Amino acid sequence: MDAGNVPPPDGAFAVDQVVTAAGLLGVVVDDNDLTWLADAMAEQRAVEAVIDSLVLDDVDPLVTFDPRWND
Amino acid sequence: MTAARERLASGDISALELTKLVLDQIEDTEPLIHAYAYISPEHALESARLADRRRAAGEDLPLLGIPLAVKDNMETVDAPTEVGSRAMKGYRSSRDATVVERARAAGAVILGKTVTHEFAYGLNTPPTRNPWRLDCFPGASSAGSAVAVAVGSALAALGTDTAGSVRTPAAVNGIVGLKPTYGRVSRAGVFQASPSLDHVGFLARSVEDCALLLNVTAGFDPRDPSTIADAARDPDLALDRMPDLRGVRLGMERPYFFDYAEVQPGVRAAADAAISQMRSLGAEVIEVSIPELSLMSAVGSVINLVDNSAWHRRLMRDKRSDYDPETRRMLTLGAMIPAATYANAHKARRLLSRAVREAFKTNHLDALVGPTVPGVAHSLLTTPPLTPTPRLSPLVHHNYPGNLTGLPVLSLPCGFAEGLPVGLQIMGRPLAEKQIMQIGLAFQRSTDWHTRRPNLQTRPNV
Repeated sequence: MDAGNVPPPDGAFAVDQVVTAAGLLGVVVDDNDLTWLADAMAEQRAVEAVIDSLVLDDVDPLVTFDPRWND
Repeated sequence: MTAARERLASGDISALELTKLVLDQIEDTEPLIHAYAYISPEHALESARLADRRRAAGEDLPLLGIPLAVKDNMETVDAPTEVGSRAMKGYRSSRDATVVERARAAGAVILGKTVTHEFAYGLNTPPTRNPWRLDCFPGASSAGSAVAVAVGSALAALGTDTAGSVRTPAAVNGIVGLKPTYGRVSRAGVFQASPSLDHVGFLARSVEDCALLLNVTAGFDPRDPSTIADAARDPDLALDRMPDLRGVRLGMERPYFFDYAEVQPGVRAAADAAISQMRSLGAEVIEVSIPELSLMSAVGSVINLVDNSAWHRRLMRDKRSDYDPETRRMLTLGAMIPAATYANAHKARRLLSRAVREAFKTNHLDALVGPTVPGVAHSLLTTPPLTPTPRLSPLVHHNYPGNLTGLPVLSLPCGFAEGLPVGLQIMGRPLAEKQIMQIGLAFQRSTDWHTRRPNLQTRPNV
């Protein structure tokens, strides 16, 4: 499935990595969801790589959102 | 709705008679299309009687006696609001959502609540079916509202749009959908998904009907601090008759909206033909380039996933077993996205907004145009399960630009592919709903796509 410019994951996310990450974050994970989450987190890392590739240093991280072109 | 208003005003039909007709249509069509989660016939008939009394007393409100449907993520005093979830079973609010309150104040008769995905977010497959082909996907989370309008079991409906959930069901059901500018319509009393992406929108059979709904519901609301105070001073969004599109400049961003790999040839052809039609009406069509659009799905997915998980954090802890497994997985995924990624997604969003703004300004555009969704409704019988990160799905690809920028977008029928409806979206400048609706109206008046109706003779096979 094409996802814009998000490349496919460059490697699988292991189920035990999901368990470790969830434990560190205090997130409850159902055993039945582990395989799905491993695939999804691998895709999500690819998304994060896209965002990390942007130069955002000078962007004002506004907390509120206003659609008007005031800036 | 326009014709019904005229007949009500002339006394040709009463609100009670009209409401009974629509309730009959609900009874006839619900076994096939399952658009409603809850129907309130007694309340609807009582509202209709009241509308008739008010008209007899000389009142003439914009929606007086018009039967409307409300998406089941909006609170209503006279019906439960269960948001498609067992976790909210039996929930009732003591107050209407502001948008419902304003529709009632304009005289609307509320018929009931329409089916949504769980919390307008889940990936579960609700029972609602596409009336054009009953084995097909009915659209995103406002599907119940869209299908009700398409089959005439409501004259118009309220919906919400966080990643295309008004525009996608409008497109795949062959009706008109409007997602107004962020902050134009209050979301108070509407279940939150992603606070900076959520919009209330409208589903109707014509551009004029969307304009009417926007006109009676728009404006500042102290219950929703995101509503724009200036917009309240915009007194009249009613449409003027624009004879053609001379002087209108439309932008086409071909790489994102037309060359994307998932755009089906029939959809591309229908959208191209619609834009040619607009050109023949006098519009100037300009090819523009906004490379930053390709980041929309990545940025939108992060914000949407994290925001939803944040809202559900407590409820998931208390009622975890009541959630659909598909929803639960998405909410778990959102809880595991790093905070720094979320913060950077919001920064990236600013870049995207600026890029779109610059394209409008540099090219002196009135609107960007393209297909609403890349494909027609897919079959629920043959489509494989969604990929792990469905927020990157083609279903949301064309819609995230409208949610991330907050710009107003109109979707209207523009043809058929494989026998199923295709939608064209028109995205305008901030608070330029009137302008994009004028453009849509000129197109609508030169075609008959919006008058096509599904034939519901076939029995469902799913």
